[in-house]
Amino acid sequence: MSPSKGSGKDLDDKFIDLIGKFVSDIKNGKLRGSNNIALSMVTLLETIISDSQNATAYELCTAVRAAGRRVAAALPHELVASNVTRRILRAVRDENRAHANQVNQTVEGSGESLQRLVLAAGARRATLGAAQHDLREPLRDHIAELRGELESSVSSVCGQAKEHVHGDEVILTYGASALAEKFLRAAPRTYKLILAEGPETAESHAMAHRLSTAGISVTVVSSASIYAVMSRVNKVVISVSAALGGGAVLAAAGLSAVTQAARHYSVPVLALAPLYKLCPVHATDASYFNALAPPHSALPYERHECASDNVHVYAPMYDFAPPDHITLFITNLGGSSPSYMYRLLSELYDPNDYNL
Amino acid sequence: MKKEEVQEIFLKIMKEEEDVSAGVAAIRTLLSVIENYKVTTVRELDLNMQLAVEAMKHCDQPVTAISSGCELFMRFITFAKLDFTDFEECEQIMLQRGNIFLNTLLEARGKVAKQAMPFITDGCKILTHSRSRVVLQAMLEAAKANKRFEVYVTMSCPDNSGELMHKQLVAGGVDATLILDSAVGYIMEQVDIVMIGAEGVTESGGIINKIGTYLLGMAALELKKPVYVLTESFKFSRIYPLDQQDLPKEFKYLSSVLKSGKDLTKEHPLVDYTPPAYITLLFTDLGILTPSAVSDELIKLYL
Repeated sequence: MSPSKGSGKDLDDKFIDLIGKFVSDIKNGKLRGSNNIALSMVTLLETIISDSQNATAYELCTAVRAAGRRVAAALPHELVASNVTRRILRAVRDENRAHANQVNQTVEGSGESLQRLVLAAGARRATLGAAQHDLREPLRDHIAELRGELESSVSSVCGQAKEHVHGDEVILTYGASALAEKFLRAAPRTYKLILAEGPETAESHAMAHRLSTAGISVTVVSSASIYAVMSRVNKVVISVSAALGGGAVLAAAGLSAVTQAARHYSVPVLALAPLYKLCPVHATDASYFNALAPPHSALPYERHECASDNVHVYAPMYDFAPPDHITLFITNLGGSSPSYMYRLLSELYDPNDYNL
Repeated sequence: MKKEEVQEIFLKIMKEEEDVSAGVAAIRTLLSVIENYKVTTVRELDLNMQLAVEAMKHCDQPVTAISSGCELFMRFITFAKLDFTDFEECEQIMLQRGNIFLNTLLEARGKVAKQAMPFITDGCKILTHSRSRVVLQAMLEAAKANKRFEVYVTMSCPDNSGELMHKQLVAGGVDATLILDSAVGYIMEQVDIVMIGAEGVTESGGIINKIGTYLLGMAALELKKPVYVLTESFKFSRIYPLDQQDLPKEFKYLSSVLKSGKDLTKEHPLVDYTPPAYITLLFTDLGILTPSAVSDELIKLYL
């Protein structure tokens, strides 16, 4: 029996209500910010685990996976929620393995490897064995650890600001982002910041104001002039929505223009990506994850008379930047190059959970 | 044990089973050597294996896959023989585990094809080079899943293996077009992705493949098209070439050419080396890897 075959029906009604509330909180904008979403997802999954009637590895995996699937189906663009689900699934698998004390302990890590092939150990299937241990107690530690990591991730990313941003440098950032703002505040204040307006112009202006009151020299430029100023920039600092397998990133619309200009002028691009934003999926094409936002940022509602029947207004939410546009990812664990992302992914998740 | 006998077993597998790649055929030959030529010590077994590997390298077949497959199998033998004191028992276990090993290898192609599936999207145009069994399988499976896509196949001189690939694609219901090797630059602007197989994967994450792949990779990089390599993990080999001259000459020329003593600079090489910079992703049975992940896997194995 493989938990990946389980249908979404394995969840109790009370859990389905909880998931519904979680989803509607995000949709209504009550819950904002990827870090908060990740933390709430942990709380949600913790409730599901502790209230489950049977707490064997199989039951827990099925329930957690079913919850993850429901959330992913309702909010396909909140990749963070799926990442947290994968982390918890990994914890369940690890605990189960520790209990079952499997024979092929000699092969480190999980999933397929040449070493496993040569030892003819046989790939570990997705089956979770017949172990009937109650895993709730040991999982509590794992969940607490994960929550601690999520809570400290922003500060550990920002703690590295001093290593990357130096005095008298010209730094460019794109759009408003809470993480980028904290990162820039954590750096020594003698650098010059160029803030390019993102799709949410008002928020970008507010962020520029907050930073300049904090004593940083800020210049706001429109997103149309990014290319023009790029030749003077020393470093680009951006916060991403998700870091994908293979080292590509998904970020706010318009980012691709920034990274392409940076690449043209050989300006290093630092992508701030706490571990919970690492997503083990590959973008098969640039439009794969995209969604359309309300188009008022492209054409304000009060100007609707411009929009005759022949005018189509689109405002995509995300942009996709390929791995060769990113110089360095800054995660909680330090800097890593895009070609190293696969390694972090294989440390964080079990390959069986890549597809929820 | 005679050299000719080993060659005969190997060539028989290669001839009778179209669908088996040279690496797997080599490993099967080695297994049948263990089974049929009884020895009494590990030392003898080792010598036998080395002799068999040498024999297969002189079969007038492309050597790249044979060499990496054999190396992996020798590694497997090394791991297996440490475990037991009694040789009889050791041999039995080795055969039994050898078959598990072989079965895992045979499953590999299907796994690779499955990994590549989401990358073949509706309406996309794919350029491929020469004939690769795993690329063929991926495309046929995508066609079976009712995906609509176009494939351009290069003729691939000197053996025109692309013609067979084209024929098999068309027979499988794929919209395929045969193009000249020299038309790669012409067609590149129209295609969305480049999907190729490999005869061997080097430790740097580059590939050794049918001559012309390097040029294809260069054209794809220039026009910014992603290059996906579909390959089974038993083709990973521990060589680190820096340029074309670093490739062993056994890889580049058939053994008959080497034996004839002709001036090799006047001969056509059969394979070239494509550096990792030209490769976007490798689809293997170990998962979807970036080129830098290859050395990681090899280090884990040979540490």
